[in-house]
Amino acid sequence: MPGRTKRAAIVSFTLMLLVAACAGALTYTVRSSSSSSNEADKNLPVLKIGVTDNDPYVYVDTTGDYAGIDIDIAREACKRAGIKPQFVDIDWNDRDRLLKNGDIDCLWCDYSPCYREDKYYWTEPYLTVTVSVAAKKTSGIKSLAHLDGSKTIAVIAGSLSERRLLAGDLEISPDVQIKSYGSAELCKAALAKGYVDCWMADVQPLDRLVAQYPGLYRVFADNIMTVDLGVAFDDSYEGPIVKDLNTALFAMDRDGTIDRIVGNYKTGATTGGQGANHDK
Amino acid sequence: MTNDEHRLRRKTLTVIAIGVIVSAVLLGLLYTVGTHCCLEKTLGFGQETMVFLENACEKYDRYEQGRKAEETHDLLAAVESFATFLSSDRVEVNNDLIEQFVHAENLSGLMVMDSDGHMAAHYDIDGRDPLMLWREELACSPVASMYQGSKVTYSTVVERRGVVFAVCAVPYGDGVALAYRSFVPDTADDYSYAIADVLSNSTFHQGPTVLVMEDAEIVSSNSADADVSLARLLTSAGVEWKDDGLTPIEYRGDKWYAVRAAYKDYRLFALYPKSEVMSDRISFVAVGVLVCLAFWVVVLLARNIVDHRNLVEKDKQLGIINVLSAIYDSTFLLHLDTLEIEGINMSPAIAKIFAEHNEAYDFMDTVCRDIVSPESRDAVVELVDISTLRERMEGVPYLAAEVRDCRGAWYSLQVVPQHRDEQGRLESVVVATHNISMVKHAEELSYQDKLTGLRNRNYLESRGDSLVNEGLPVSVIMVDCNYLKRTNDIYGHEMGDELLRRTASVLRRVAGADYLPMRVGGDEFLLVCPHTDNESALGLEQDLRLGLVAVSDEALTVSASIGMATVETAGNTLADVYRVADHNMYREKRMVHVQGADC
Repeated sequence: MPGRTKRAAIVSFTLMLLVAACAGALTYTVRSSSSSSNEADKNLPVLKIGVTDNDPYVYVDTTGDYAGIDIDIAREACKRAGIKPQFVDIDWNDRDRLLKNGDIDCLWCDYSPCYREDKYYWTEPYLTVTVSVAAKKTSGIKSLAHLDGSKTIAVIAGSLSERRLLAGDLEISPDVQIKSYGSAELCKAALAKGYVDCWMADVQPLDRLVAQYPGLYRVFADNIMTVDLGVAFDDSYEGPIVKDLNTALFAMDRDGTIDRIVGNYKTGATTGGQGANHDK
Repeated sequence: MTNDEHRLRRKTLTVIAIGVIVSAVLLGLLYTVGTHCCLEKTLGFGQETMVFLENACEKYDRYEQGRKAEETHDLLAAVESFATFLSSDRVEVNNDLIEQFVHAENLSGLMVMDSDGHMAAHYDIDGRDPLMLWREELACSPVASMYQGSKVTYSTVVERRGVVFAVCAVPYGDGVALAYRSFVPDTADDYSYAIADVLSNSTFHQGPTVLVMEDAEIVSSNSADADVSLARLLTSAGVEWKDDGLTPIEYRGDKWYAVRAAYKDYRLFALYPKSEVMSDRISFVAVGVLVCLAFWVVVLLARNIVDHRNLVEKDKQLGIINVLSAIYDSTFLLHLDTLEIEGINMSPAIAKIFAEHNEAYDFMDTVCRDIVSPESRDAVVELVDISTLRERMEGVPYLAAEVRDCRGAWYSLQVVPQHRDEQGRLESVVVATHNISMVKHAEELSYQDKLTGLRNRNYLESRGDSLVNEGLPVSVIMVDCNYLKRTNDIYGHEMGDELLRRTASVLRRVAGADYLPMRVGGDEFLLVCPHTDNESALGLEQDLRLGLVAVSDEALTVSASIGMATVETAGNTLADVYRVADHNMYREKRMVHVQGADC
C-alpha cells in the first residue's frame, strides 16, 4: 500500500473515531445537562395551575403537551419566580370548588378580574386583550349598528362579553338577542350553522376563524372593549407566590417577553392553536 | 525468511487489517445511515398519517360540535315553544302539563323555576332530580340574568352520569324554563363522519396500526389487535416519547416504532412494525457497497491509466534508484560501549537498513546478510567483531579489509579509532566503506598479460615469496618456448604470437583450477603448483609436453623447454626456486639448441 494511501486511511479512521467520540461526548453532555436540570426542578415548589381548553391561550399541541399564550407566559413567569408549574385540566364550571379544596392553586386561563375583583386574590394584570365581533359576510352585518332586535349574537356563558351585553353598556342595541353557550366551540358551531348571526369574543379566536375559512367571515368593531387578564388565587391565599409572580410578570412586560409570546400566536405565526376561545 | 519477506508480510497484514477495519467501519456506517434513512422515511409516513388523523379529528370534532349546536338549537326552539304551549300569564304550571310537553317534544325533562328561584314544576322521564342534575347551569350568569328580565337564552352540552345532554334555558314569565334532551346515539347517514370510517377506508404507507384514543381509551383503530393493554402501554409514563422522531416500543415480544400526535382531547398513534420499517435497510447497504465498489474500480482504473502514462518515466527513475541502491559508500560512528551507530554519511541502501536496524549487531548482521557477498562475509565479521575490536585496534592506526558485495563490486572496509576516554580506552570507531572496484579493475589489468590472458610478471612479483611458501610442497615448472625468434623471423610476429597463445592454452588447460599459470617473459611461462610434489610435477611436465605436441600442426610446431623445481619446506624465496627451475629449463634448452644446430 503506498504511503500516501496508508496515511489517508489512518487519517480517515482517526477522523471517524474522533467524530464518534465527539458525538458520544455531546450526547453525554446533553443528557447530563438535561438530567441535571430535571434534578434541579425537583427541588422547586410546585404551583398547580387550573386550565381548560381555550385556544390560543391554553390548548394541547400535537405532541400532547400544553401550549398557548397563557401556558408560555406561566412557564416563563414560574421559571423566573423559581416555581415549577403543574398544569391541571379542570372542568371550568367546577373551578371554584377545586380552588377551595386546594386541588389547584390558581386559575390561569384567559381569566379577567373584571367584576370578580373581590371573588379572588388576583395578581396584577399581565395582558390586555381586545373583544370584537365576527359575522358571516353574507349576513350583511358590517358594524355594531347593524345589530338590532332581529339579530342574534352568541357569547360564552359567564364571559365578560355576556355580562356587558346584558348590562347594555356597549354600543349595541339592547334589543339584540343574546344567546349564551356553554363553550366557544358551541358558539363557533352555532355561527357556522347560522343559528346566530354573529359571535362576540376575544379577537384572537375570531381571527383564527377568519383564517380557517378564508372569505367567509369578517371581524368588525375590533375595539368594543378591552379586558385585562390576571391569575386568580383563592381569596384566602397568603403565600409569597403572588408577589413573586407579580415581579416576574412585570419584568416580562418590561423586557418584551409577553409581547413576543403573544406575537408567536398571532394568526399566521408558526405556533398555531386549534379552536376558539372565550373571553372569560 | 528474509528481512524483506518479513517486511512484505508485515505490510500485507497491515493492509489486510486496515482493509478489514475500513470495511467494517464502512459497513457500520452504511448500516447506521441505512437505519437512519429507514427511520426518516417511516417518520415521514408517520407524520403524514398524523396530519391526516389530525384533519380527521378536526373534521370529526367540527361534525360533533355541529351536531351539538344542532341539538341545542332544536332544544332551544322546543323550550321557546313552551311559552306558546303553556302561557305563563294564563295557566298555572304543573307537573302533568310539563310531562305532556316533554313527551310531545321528545325531551328528557323540563323544569320551571319561579321568580324566587324555586322549582315550580318539573318532569324527568327517568325520574332524575333536575335541581341536583342542573344546579351548575341554574347558577350560571345567563340564567341568573333571566330573573332580572334579560332576554338571553342559554345553551350548552354537558355530560351527566355518563350521558351527554343538550341543555337550554329560556326566560319564562318571571322565572326560567330549563329543558334538556339526551343525545340520541349517532345514526350513521350520508352526512355523518366517524373516525372509524376514516381509518377503515384509508390506506397508509407501510401499513401502520393506527389508534385514536381519548382518556387512555381507544376511540377507534384500524387493527383488531389494538386492545386495552396496548392503550395502557402507549399512555404509560414508561414510554419516553421522541417528539421529533420515532419512538421504539416493545409490545407482546414485537418491536414497533411509534409516532404520536394530539388533537384536543384525542391522542393519535401510528405504530409501525420494525420488520416493515427496516425492510429497505439491506438494499440500502447493498447499494452502498456497490457504489463503494464502483468508486474503487473507477479509482483503480484512473490510477492504472496514470501509472501507464508515467511508466517510462518511472522506469527511468527506477533505473537511477537501482544504480543508487547498489552504492554502499558510507561512514558511520560505532560506539563500542552503547553499541549505537551514528550515521555520518550513508548511501541510500545503507541508510535504509540503518533506519530499520540501528542496533550495532542487528545492523551488521543485516548488512552481511543482504549486501556482503558470501565469500567476504567472514572477513567483514572478523574485521568488525566488536568483542575483540578494542584489542585488535591497540597499536595499529586502522584495520582494513577488501570485501565484495553481492554484485561483485569491491569495497575497502576500514575501521579507524575515533575517540578514547581519559584512560586511553577506545570508546568509538569510525567505520568507512569505499568503493574500490575501479582500483581493483585497474590492478587486475596490470596483473594480466594482454596477449595470452595469463597472469604476468607484475603479479608474480606482487605475490612474492608467498607463492612458494603456501600450500607446500610447491612445484614450479618453467616453460620456455623453442624457436620463437626463428618463427618471428620466418613467419612473422603474428605467427610468433600464435605460438605463444597456443602454449598459454596448453598451460591453462593443464593448470586447471588448482594451479597458477603465468607468462613471466617474452617466451617464458611459469606454472606454480601448490600441494604438488616432485613426482606429481613430473606428471604435469609430461602433460605439458603432450599438450604442446597436440597443439602443433604442419604450419606451426609448438615446443618448449621445461625446467622444474619443487619446494618441500618453508623459508625458500621465489628467486631461489625460480633459479633452480630456470637452470633446469636451460639445461634442456641447450640440448634443444644443439639438436637444432644438427638439423
